[in-house]
Parts: sequence; C-alpha cells; structure tokens
Amino acid sequence: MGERGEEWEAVMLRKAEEEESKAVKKVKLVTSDGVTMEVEISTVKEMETIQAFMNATDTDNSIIFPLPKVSSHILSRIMELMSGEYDQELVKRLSHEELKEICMVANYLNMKTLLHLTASAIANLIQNKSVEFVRHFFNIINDFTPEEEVQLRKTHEWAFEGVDED
Amino acid sequence: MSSEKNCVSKLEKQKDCKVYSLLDLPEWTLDCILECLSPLDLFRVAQVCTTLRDKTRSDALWEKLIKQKWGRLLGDAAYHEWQWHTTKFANTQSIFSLQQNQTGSCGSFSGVWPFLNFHSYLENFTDLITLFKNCSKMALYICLESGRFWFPVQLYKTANLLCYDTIVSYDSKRDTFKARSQTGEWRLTEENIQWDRLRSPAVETSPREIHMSNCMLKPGDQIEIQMKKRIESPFYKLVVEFKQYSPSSRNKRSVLNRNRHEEQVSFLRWFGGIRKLDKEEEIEKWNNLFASR
Repeated sequence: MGERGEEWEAVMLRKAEEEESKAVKKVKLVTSDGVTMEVEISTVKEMETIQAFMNATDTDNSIIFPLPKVSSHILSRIMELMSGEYDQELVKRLSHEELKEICMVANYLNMKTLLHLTASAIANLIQNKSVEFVRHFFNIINDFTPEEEVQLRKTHEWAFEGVDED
Repeated sequence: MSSEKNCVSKLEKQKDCKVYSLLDLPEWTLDCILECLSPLDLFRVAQVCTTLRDKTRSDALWEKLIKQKWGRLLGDAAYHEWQWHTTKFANTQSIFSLQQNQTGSCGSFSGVWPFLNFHSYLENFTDLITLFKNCSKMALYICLESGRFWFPVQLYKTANLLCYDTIVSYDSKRDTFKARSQTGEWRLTEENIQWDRLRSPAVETSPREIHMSNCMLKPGDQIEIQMKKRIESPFYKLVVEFKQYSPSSRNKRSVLNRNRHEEQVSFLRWFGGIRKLDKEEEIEKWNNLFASR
C-alpha cells in the first residue's frame, strides 16, 4: 500500500512539474506601439513565422518577439478571433480597417486559417460594390488611361446589362 | 492581454500615419480574395487599376469558373474548336481578313461553311481578339456566357428518344440555349432549351465518323445507338454481333432495321455504331426519357 502511495505521489509530482514548465514557457509579443502581450505557447503555434523562429532557437526560456508591423489593438483583435475559434460573426463585427490590417498581419505571421477567413470576408465585402468602393477599400489609385478604360468597359459591357451599379 | 486598455489611445495616434494598399499583399493572398468572387465581381474589380485588371484575368481563376458552370457541357471537342478559332485569330493579325469575317469566324450561318469538319461557330468576337492570346480562359467564359460561341453538344429529343449532335449558344437572360443543326443547313432549330436536355458529346468520334465500339457487351448491358451524319456511306442496318454465342446460334446476331418512320424523322442520320452505357446516371437519364414519353 505504502509503496503504491509513493508511486502515486511521484506521478503527481511529475505532472505538476510538467505543468509548471509549461506555464513558464510563455511568449512575449511586443507590438509596434510598444505594448508587451504575454501569450500561451499554444497560441503561437498558429503563427508560423514565430513558430519557425522558436524551432530554430530551441530554448526553454520565455521568448520575447518583436512585432514592429502589428499594433496592440490588432493583435488583441486577432487573439479574440483565435479564442472564438474564428467565428464568422466575430469577423462581421470588425471594421473595414481592422479587417484589412488583420489580413495583412495574418499574411505577415503566416496564419493560414486566419488568412483564409479574412480573405473570404474581404471578398464578401467587395461583392456587388462599385469600382470606386473597391478602389477606396484597396487604397488604390486609378492608373488607367482613358483609352484603356473605354476598351475595358467594352469588354465587360455585355455582363452589366440590366445590372444596377451601386 | 491585460494591456489592451492602455493601447487603445496609442492606436488612435498611429492610425493616421498608416498608408498601405492591399496590393502589397503577396500574390497568393490576393488570389485567395479573387477566388471567392463571382465573374461579375471580377469584371468590376478589373476596372479598379491595371494591376488588378491583370490579376483578375488569370487562367487559373477562369478555368475554375468555367468548370463550375460549364464543365458538364464542355467536352474535349468544344475545347478543341475553341482553340482552333482563337489561335487562328491570335495568329492572323491582319485587319483585312478580320473585316471580311466580321460576322463570325467561318462566315455567316446562311452562307457557305468553308470548314466542313467544323462543329462550332464564333460570332461577334472582334473586340475580344486581344484577349485570345493572353487570357484565353476568360475570353472563353465571356464567349460562352454572352452566347457568342456556338459549341458542340448533344441534345435529347424526348419525343423520338434521340440524342443528336448540334451546336448551341447560351442565352444568359433566360438561362437557356438556342440550337442550330447541320441537318437544317445551320438554321435555328430550337430555342429555350433547358440545361438538362443537353450533354457533352458522349464519344470522341466526330459527328461524321463511325464510332467503333471497343467494349465487350454481355446480356443485360445497356447500350445507346450512335447516329451519325455520314451521307457517303449510309448504314441502313445496324448489326450487333455477340462474341459469346457460337456462329450457329440464333442469338449470335441482332439486326436493327431503319424503318420508314425513322427515316422521315431523321432523314440525314445514319447508324454510326453503338456505345455501352456504364454510368448509372446515364442509364437513369434514358429511363427517365422513356418514362416521360
């Protein structure tokens, strides 16, 4: 009996140790506006850019990772999306600016699920919208020559017969 | 995460100085967005700037869209015909020859067809010639959707249980097809044809050649008789020989005679071989036609 109890204790101790070492392993992300966010290591798993760095350094200590292209506001939005398991409803609540920035960050951090989610959300957003809207949304300057514009309209003309421009 | 509160004010400050464009995203991210768009949206996005115009014209994007909407109907034959029309005009840059052929790539329907092996027609395409070379998939989509490309299909005729070769053009407003058939010298033979009455040509043999069946038939197999337009050597009878029976057996041969009625209905069609049906859906389709007759 006594032996068994000791065994049991040993197992528990080992478990506690493991948990402790897990708890220690946290990643500190420093955003562009100087805010440090401490996140679980599991969170970072999806950020392939950071994960690759961690695999390369292979350290047990906490890691500080600077994100000069990511604001704390956007990073916290991303955390929300991740903890909400990328719920479409959460995405719908984002502003246009947030959506665009998150898409850029998802690309920068190589977060595939988030990238697909935001890309399809952006596609939804520009559906049935005017050329001007898309131009503004993508932050693009019209670089067509008048001739090119005429040519283009001619090519697409048939498709827009009877369709209302918004 | 606890720092969320105090970062909001900082964010406000930095928002103003951010200038970026989604065009800075790597290509495949942008492709991700474009892939979710409908053809109409792609046309609109194409008008935003030259970069997006070029990106929305990629063959990969349009190939997917063609498969989605047209995959069921476009057979290899249709692709070959398309290739023929477009490479011909991508290579002949001569304005003179284009002006002469403005009604269509093979002259007008009422006129003589210079290429009798042809089984398609392309009309009203002069404004698309520049697209043929560099974005041929988008051009194909446009020509299909706008009804400019008459492509080869087979049309089910419920009344006499036929499925015959024809060329069709799409009417996007009604979501139906118009058909022209060689039998009537390419006159318009039918309009308002629904999607489910068409199929892509079942055999690769052209409508003018005999289809040589290379499959073994056994009792219980479902077959379909190919009708061909081959005036030079008409077959009046279709003889099916069963290899598994001995030559003396009365089951060895089965002879199908063309009767008078049939000849009246389809006076320019001749037996052109048989084809075994091995797809369940094809058999079901014929059974439905039987039932609805």
